[in-house]
Amino acid sequence: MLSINNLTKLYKGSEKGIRNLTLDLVEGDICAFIGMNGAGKTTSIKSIVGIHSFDQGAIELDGVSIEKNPQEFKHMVGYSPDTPVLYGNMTGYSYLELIGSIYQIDNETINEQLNTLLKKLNFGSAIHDLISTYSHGMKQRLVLISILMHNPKLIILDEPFVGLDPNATYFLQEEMKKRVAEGSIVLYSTHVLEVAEKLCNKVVMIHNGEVVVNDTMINLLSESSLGEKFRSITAHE
Amino acid sequence: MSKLIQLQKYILANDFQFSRLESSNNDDDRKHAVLTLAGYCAAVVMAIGYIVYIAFDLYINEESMLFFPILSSILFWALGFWTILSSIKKMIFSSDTELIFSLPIPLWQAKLFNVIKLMILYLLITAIAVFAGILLHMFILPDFWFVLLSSLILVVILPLLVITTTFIISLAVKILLNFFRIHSNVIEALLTFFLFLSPLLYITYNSASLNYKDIFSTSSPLYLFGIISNSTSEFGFFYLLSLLAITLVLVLITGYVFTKRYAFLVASYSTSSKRRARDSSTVSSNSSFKSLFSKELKLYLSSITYVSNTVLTPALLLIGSLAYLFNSSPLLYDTTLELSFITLSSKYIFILFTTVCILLTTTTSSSLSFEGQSIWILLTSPLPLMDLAKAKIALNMMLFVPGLACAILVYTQNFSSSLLDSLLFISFTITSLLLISITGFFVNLKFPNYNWSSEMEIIKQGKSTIITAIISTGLISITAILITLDFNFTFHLLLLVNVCIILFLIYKLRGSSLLME
Repeated sequence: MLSINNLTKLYKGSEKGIRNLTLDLVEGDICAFIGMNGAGKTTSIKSIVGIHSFDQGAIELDGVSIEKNPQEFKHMVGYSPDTPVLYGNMTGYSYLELIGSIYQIDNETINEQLNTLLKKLNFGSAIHDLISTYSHGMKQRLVLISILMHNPKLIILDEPFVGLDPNATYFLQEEMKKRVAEGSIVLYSTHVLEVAEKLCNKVVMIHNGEVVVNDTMINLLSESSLGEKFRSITAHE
Repeated sequence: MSKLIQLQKYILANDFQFSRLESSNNDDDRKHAVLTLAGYCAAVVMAIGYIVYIAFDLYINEESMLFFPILSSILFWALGFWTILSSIKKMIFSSDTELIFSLPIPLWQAKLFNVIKLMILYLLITAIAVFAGILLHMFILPDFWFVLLSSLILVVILPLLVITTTFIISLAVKILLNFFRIHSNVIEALLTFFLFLSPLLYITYNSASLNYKDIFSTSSPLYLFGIISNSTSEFGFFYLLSLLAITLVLVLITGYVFTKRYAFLVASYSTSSKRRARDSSTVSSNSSFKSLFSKELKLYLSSITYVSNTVLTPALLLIGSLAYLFNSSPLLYDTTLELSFITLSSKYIFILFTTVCILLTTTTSSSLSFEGQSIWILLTSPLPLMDLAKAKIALNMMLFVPGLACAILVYTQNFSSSLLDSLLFISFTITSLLLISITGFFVNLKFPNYNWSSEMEIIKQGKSTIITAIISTGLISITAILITLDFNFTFHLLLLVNVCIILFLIYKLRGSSLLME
């Protein structure tokens, strides 16, 4: 279970950030994180995965606190950033080897997972090329392989569908459903509301650093579509 | 052309953070910009101070005629050295190259955009240096108008000469290494430095004394072309104009080649995009240290700027130690330094040389910042900070292994040192290396910068690099003074202090975490 309690993170000298985010997600949940550009989605995500320090609040995954035991926490998390900046001078394979070593995955598991993922994501021999030659979508796919490889309990994706081709998009949606069925939790930020409506069972909307919606998708859709709700919240902007 | 000037104006304002000062609503941003600009101003003031000192020194000694050759020489070597350190790649393309090429400006302007930017910068530096220096001489030298005109010509010639010379040398080295299929940034950096500095090194080696006036006046680009500043006649002016003409011809040829063969240059200076063959198609998970170290090594070797700025002292230690080992010059063992209160033997000079080489630079002071925007990989990985520190520190230690091994051999064999004395030297040098490596990492952890656009921003101009350099200078000074005062006692003391500081820093590192604010 992912438990976020009163998470507040404001940038120094600015009012931007996130205030009092409280969120509970259980195994099987796919939660969409929605908001305008600069609303605080990436800030929240970066705090949850341990990139940013935060001003107050608590984040726990299965009772493990990111502040008290960051290593154990991070071992259970797989994260894909909105812009995947990777080590350009490494090949895709070297990068996966590095991630495998850091997460201490045994060789048999890596190769078993990898062969399937490489085929499904149609990587082919490009995995032996330098990452600097990859397109945005290829980097995105490489990051997805690297996080799925170690079977994380919590999968956090920051705008994961940007740059992915239709096949990879379909694969990712199916993989999300499969992973949550196996007991994982998925939290992802997106601007593609139609996909979120079909894929997610929970939704969080952020506006100007404040949580304005934190509900189940069924409840929300009983009132209006996600798009209508979003437009009504942000109408005065 | 006006579009180009406008664009250069905006990009230079952005590079020097003026735009941040004007438009940022964030106090921290503005403070950072003010501090950066203050740093640039301090550097300019210090440089002007040094030039005025030279001018005054020459005036007092009635050698004012040497001012132009010496100043032009210092500027040429300093700017050339800086250009190579900053990487020639920056002249060809940068992070904003794609934007520049998408703008409605002539193609040749887009291709030469970075060169023009560098030219403007060097033109400003040279103008400030030359005019600060000649203020004193302008009214003393026999022909006022000649001096003024010469100064103006010099301001134009020097930046052009620096940019074309360094570019030609760098390209020649690259082509040569490609011909022999050698793809090593370390070899490329060392060869480029050596070729560029070889005239200066040769003149210094053959110089009767180590007086800066002799060395710099002889190695002046003006002197090399047969022109000296004390010519006030038509004859001297003719040579100065000849130098300008030769420089312009050189610039035109280089500029033509640059624009015509731009695609070739981009390909040559880009990271190799060739596919790396691999025998096995299976991934093997190594120990995390081995993988992190391998990643660290690849990251380091991928940047010629990083290599250039950090490989000089390890190379100097190796070359110096080999020179001692093979007794290449009798001066090495016979030289003693006579100070007013103490005489330093060649053995002590060697210890100081080793200490200076070890402490002067460290890769660790910018190693975290160098991760740039890929830092998220480490930040989200379940890695203890110490594992990361070990890999980064190991890289710096590795660079010094050949030089340090030779230095230890020299100390134990050639200086007839006792066993205890040798053990002390070995312990002292290794702990000093470890100390500066950990210090660099610790400082970088406290002052990281992951949002850089140019490698130089963090490798040479970063806050953590500057702080570590100040600490290095302090450590070198303390070591030099203490060793000079009482070698036997202070060597033990320094060793103890090194160990204590290392343990303290390890303790602090264990309690720290890698997090962005």
